[in-house]
Amino acid sequence: MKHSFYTPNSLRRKNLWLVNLRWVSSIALLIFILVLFLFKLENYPYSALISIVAVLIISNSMLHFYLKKRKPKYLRTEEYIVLAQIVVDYILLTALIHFTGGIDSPLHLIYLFYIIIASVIFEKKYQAFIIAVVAVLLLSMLVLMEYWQILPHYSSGVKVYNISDIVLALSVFYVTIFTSTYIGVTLMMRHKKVKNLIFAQNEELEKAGKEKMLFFRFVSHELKSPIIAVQSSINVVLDVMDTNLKPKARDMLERGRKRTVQMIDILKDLVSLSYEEKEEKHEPELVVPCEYIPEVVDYYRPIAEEKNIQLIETVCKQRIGFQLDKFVFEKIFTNLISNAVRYTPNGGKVTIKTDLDDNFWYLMISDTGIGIPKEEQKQIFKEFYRARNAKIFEAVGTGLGLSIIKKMVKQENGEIFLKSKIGKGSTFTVRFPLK
Amino acid sequence: MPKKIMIIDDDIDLVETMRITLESDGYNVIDSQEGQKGLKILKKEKPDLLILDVMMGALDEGFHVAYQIRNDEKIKDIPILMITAVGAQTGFKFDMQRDEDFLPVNEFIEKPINPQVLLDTVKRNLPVA
Repeated sequence: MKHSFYTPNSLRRKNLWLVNLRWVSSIALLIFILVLFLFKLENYPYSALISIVAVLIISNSMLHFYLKKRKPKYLRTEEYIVLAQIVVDYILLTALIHFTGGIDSPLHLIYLFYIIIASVIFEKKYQAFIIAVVAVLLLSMLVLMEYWQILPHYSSGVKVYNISDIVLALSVFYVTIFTSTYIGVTLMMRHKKVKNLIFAQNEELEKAGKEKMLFFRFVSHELKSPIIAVQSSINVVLDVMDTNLKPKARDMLERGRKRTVQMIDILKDLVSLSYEEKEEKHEPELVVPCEYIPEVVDYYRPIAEEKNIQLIETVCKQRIGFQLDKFVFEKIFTNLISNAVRYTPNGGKVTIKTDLDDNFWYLMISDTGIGIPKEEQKQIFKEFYRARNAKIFEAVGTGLGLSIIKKMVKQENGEIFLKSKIGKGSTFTVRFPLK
Repeated sequence: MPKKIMIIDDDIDLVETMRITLESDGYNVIDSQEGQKGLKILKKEKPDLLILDVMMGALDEGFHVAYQIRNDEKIKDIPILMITAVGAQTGFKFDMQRDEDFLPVNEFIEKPINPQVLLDTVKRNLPVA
């Protein structure tokens, strides 16, 4: 697929950039003329020079006004505006050159500047060369007309041209201008090629990423069905059938059930990770966390009690609501509580606190758990990373939970902080802006 | 007369676990592993409640079946419990609950289903006779 390198908008910016440059050069020209005048350098036709600058300023004002007023619509129009700017400038420049000494004027170097602009802006190679040819024709005509004395030659020293000087000066000019065009165009082509390549590769990467996520989702769904069937079967034996299971058999089944719970948790994490793409984003709605927190805490109470862990929810006072994705908030909150309960030894404490200041709402979940080693505190937010002591404490885990939470918090413009001391416990603080 | 419960789910093992659970509580259980076939049996047997899996063959076949039931005068009042594994991960549940009119089922239960939860939910949704 061929992409146009510019959009109407980006080319409009280039057009405006040219206009601004012209303002700067108008001022520079005025200073240049003033210096010539003050030093009484030559008998230049000052009125003609001033008139040219006046034309430049007036036409630039008009163009500036037009560009500011009209929205860019077509690429073609913007290209014509660039072309028009170059042609008008070339004519004015040629006039300036004429009044400042023809081939002797240093101003003819300015032609080069437009060659660079043309090779950067125009899509086709030959377009920059046309600009080069125009410059060559304009200067050659001017010089020849001065030579044939159709036009006067305003110069300090020699009043009459020497043909060999002219040929030499023009030849140098031709070589310079065509070489510059060639270099400019070649560099730009290469630049565009690289940019297109990067663009194409980005597209491919994005596609591959999406495919990976789909695969992830597919695999985790496929794995979930059998494990759910396994768990349900065990449940029925343990909870429904009134069999006289031997204690050892019951114990083994309980162990099996526990492992299926862990496995389902892992698969849920994997699925969440694959849904982290924006496509699944829900509309934010007014969430009042303090209405919601007790519900979640109650859900985790029995799980905590099993480990004899005290779940303390300090009274949530801030009846404040803010715009959040409810689903995301639920995920963040339940994940943090579940982690806290999981990594706190029997008889410990998990405390849920909320706070408020002028700018943020805070949710703090502290535990008296195993803690996270200082050198690993940054790592644990990375995908699949599990702290060393976490692996010893709980054999099974994906190391995905916190990376998912971090992404979700960020998605809702929040931040997450961690304070932890090994053996003492951890505090995760999540804060959301009140806006 | 024991109440008659129908299960439509393509996972035979899940059907079996639910059957054992429900029968242990004295229900009569019939089942089908396929949506359209199940619908025919449902029309004939007229159970007191239907347990329907959201995701059989196609991603939304369960919903399809639910709609067909709700649009059929003779069977539209049968309570439907929809089993879902999708809700937990996608927030799909929220979307469904937000739009009451759109809801073709009485309640969602998330897999894996705890036997006691299943019994409680069934009891709650059975029409009072």
